[in-house]
Amino acid sequence: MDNSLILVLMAGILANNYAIQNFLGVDSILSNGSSVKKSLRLGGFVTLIMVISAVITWPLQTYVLKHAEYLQTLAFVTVILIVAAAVEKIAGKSPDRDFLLFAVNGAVLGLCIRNAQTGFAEAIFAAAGAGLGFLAAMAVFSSLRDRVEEEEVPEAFRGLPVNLLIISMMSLALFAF
Amino acid sequence: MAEKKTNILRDNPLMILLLGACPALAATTDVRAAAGMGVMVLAVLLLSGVIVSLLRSRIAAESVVPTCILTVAGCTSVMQMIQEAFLPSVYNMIGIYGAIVAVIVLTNRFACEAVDEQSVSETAKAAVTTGLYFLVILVVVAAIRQVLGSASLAGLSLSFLEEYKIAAMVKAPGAYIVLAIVAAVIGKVSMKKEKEEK
Amino acid sequence: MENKKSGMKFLAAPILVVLVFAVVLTGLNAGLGPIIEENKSSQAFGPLMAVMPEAENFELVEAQLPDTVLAVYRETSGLGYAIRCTATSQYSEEPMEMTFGIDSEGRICGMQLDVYKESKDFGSDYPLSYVGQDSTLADVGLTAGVTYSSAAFKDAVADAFAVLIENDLIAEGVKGDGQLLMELLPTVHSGLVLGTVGQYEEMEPSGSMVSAMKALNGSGFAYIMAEGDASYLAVANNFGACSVYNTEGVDVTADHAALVDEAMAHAAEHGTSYFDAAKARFEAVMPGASDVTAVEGIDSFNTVVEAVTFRCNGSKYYGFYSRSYGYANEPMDIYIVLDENGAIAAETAKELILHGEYFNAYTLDEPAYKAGFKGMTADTWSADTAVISGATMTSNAMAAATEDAFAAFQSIQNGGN
Repeated sequence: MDNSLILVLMAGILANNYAIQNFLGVDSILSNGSSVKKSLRLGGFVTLIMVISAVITWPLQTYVLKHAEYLQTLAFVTVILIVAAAVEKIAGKSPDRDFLLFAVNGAVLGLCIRNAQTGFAEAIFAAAGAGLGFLAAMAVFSSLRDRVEEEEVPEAFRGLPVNLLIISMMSLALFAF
Repeated sequence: MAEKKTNILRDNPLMILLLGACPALAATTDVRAAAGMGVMVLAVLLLSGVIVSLLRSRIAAESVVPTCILTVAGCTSVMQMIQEAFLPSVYNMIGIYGAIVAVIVLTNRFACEAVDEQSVSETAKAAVTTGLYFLVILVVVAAIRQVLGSASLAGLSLSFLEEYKIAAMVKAPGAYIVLAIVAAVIGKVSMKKEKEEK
Repeated sequence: MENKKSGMKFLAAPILVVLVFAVVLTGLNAGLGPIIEENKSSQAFGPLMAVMPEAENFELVEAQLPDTVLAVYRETSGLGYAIRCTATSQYSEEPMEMTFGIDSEGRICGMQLDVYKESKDFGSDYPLSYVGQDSTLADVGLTAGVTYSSAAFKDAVADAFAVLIENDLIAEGVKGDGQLLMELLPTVHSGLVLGTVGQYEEMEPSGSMVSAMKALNGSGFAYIMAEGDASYLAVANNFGACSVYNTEGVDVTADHAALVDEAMAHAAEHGTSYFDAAKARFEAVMPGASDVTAVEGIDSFNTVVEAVTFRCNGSKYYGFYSRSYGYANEPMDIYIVLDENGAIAAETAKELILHGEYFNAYTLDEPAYKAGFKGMTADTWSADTAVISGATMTSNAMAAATEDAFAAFQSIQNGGN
């Protein structure tokens, strides 16, 4: 396999982690209060949605949207929405609000927009990398958050602030890349 | 039924911050970008809220979420274009995150809740307050990050701080930390308010 | 049935929303599109503003543009034009890009090099030397030691001027006599130029000379001389020959004997003799060579610095020593032996690849290469014989030397010696 494609994959997970380093979809991670197991499942779904969306949006951008750039946001969001709903249906659940709001997040859209500039193969690998990065970020975040003893956190910092600090630690760790 | 649909965004800056964390972290390296982003979010909240509110009786229950998401996406596109035309420097500063406004939980959640709102004017009012909260938070965070991280403020270079600047402030870790502190401050203030009300 | 109906209704609202917004956005795009385009091109105005600081705004000029001219902008308050050009040369891997302004009088008011990637330094003085020039570019170029990139640069700027002049946007500058004469130089004495770039050093002019130039490879001299109101170009070689040309490029040697004498006196005084070097070399190249004698009166003006005749194994041979310019514009030392019928008997160089230690992207089988020249005459030879793969400048130098040797030989046959 081509070396550079693997690098694209790795970069998506580590150095260019969409959620941690680029803030894309971090609001979804922060507002998601699930356990590590559930996080893994949700992350898996998002990865799937990302890859499928990438497959659809890349040709869409390259052949259609390049004549109408201003329709990009609308078109991409539509595609992602449909993909997310479809994935949910196939998984046996009816599309519910929370999942859709979670799944149609900045990471997926950001990925599709960035893919517009690369080749098709790179786009797929970037999608996989971004998805896996998102999944990893979610899982690590859940597990770290579970370890934080609520009582030891100063009152003002409980909840959102300490979660943000947790992610800041993760981001510092990834900074090394 | 009415109890289930709690409007978590009403006058709840902490929640606003949480659901709008993505732009709050991304567009706050420069005060101009933060202001541009805040205004854009306000505009999108207002526009999409009003549209959804006007259509609320025609939307079937199952299609609320898709309709809201797509309305927000459309409004974001409109705002992006306006910004690109009239404020190109801000547009370039914000970059890809302009489009992300379409998918942040803040705007989408707001739209979904607007469907249950009593009237269009209430939605409009709520959009403005929410948007303003967001704008203020963003500008504050941006000011802190920019002054500490690049010794400048909205294009003005503060050279006397050059030696003390902390590069991490304008990068990812700094973003989270500053936001955490700002969130903590907001939390503290809200708690005080709650205590006083009690 | 119920399900289907509600399923359809379910999709109605979202689809409607998408369609409505698509229409709205298309409409907005029609209205705001132009503004956005203008913004984008304004951002490109950064370099334009740098070369024309008092400019208010620019608008694109629609015109037929040659490859070297990227864009022409008119400054909206009448200050002139700003132009973006690109130029490629053998030295740089990527094209150069430059931006310059031309004021309303047709003079360059600012010059900036935007993109330039070359291993050898261009020098910041060169682009600045364009400021103040008009379309004649009279004081630029044909300065010694300047590289190929500067020739490409100059051509691009000249192309830009041509566009403006063709479209009646500025008036054409008038070339001075000096410039007209210098433009003749490549065709009247190729030993002082490489392509269109001068390879000479300036000497102290005297008498009727306006300027005196000595070829860097020692192949002769060029003089700009004034007689009354008129200017002339005189060229001299190492064989005691001199020609004079007027600004129209006509050979007027016969009418200006005084200038000829003056030029030849100067050339004789300041010229270099290459006889000893040539003799030694030809004796080495053709073992058994004897009676090496210099040839006089050859009236070809090129890179040949010395010509000799000698006898070897009972036959008469002509030896030509050429110092044509090779890699990095350095004169090579090329020795060509022609038999009495004008066929190459031997061709060699003191050092075929100059600076091999810095430059090794070529392939060369020396014996085979040299053997390839043997037997060629002026009619049968082609420049392909001289090609060394990966060494364009050396190949060109070898080709030029060979051509020059044939020309000198022809001159001998015509003049008789």
